[in-house]
Amino acid sequence: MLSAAALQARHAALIGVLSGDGELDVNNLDLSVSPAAVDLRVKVPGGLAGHQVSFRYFEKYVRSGAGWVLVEYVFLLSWQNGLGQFEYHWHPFRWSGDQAIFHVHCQPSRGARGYYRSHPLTLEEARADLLRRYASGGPVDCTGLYALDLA
Amino acid sequence: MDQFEHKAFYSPAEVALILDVSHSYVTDSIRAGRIAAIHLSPRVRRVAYGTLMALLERPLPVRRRRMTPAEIEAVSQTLRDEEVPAPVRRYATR
Repeated sequence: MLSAAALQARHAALIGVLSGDGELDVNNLDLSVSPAAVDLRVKVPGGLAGHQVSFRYFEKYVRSGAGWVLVEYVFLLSWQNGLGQFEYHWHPFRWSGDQAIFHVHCQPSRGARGYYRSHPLTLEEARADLLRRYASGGPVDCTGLYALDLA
Repeated sequence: MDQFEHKAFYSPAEVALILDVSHSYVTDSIRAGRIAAIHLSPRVRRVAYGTLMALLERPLPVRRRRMTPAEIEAVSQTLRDEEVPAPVRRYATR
């Protein structure tokens, strides 16, 4: 759980870090209402659309007592030129009740989107991983991932 | 018009060329933390586009908006992709 001041400070720090990665779209954090969202979108240059890749970092927080609790996240890397998409997710499903599930959506350049197991990640960890995946030159590689299976 | 290619990452050598400084100045600055770099591997470092533009004193714009709680829920639902199938249980549960 984060205090309002800590969440505001984290948001400001993330803007500072991510503005070094590319053009940034920011949702202004509004802690006067719940839920609140850290929603940061980064576009890096190149490609026909003016950008070849976008990153999105979305965290949803709800107020709990005197603080704010992270209840879900989506961190994603999306190529604009058909080279695929890679996403880290943590949220509940209709079939999981209130239980949030760590998982990956992986869309290779050829083939169907798949859903795979994942583990807890901070936004900063996801950023480092997604940047490395992008810098490797693509296309998105889904090999080595384990199918989503809660049995 | 810039005389360099706009792309996501730049090697220290490219940064040195664009900034018209020595390669060792860039690598030393990265090592000292004066220039933020992404570590792709223990030996490979890259400087991101936004960092380079800030070094050129042309920081990229930051666009801001404000989402309502309803918009936050809508974004959450859109990003979730509820087509994720329920997992098949392979083992009997007690």
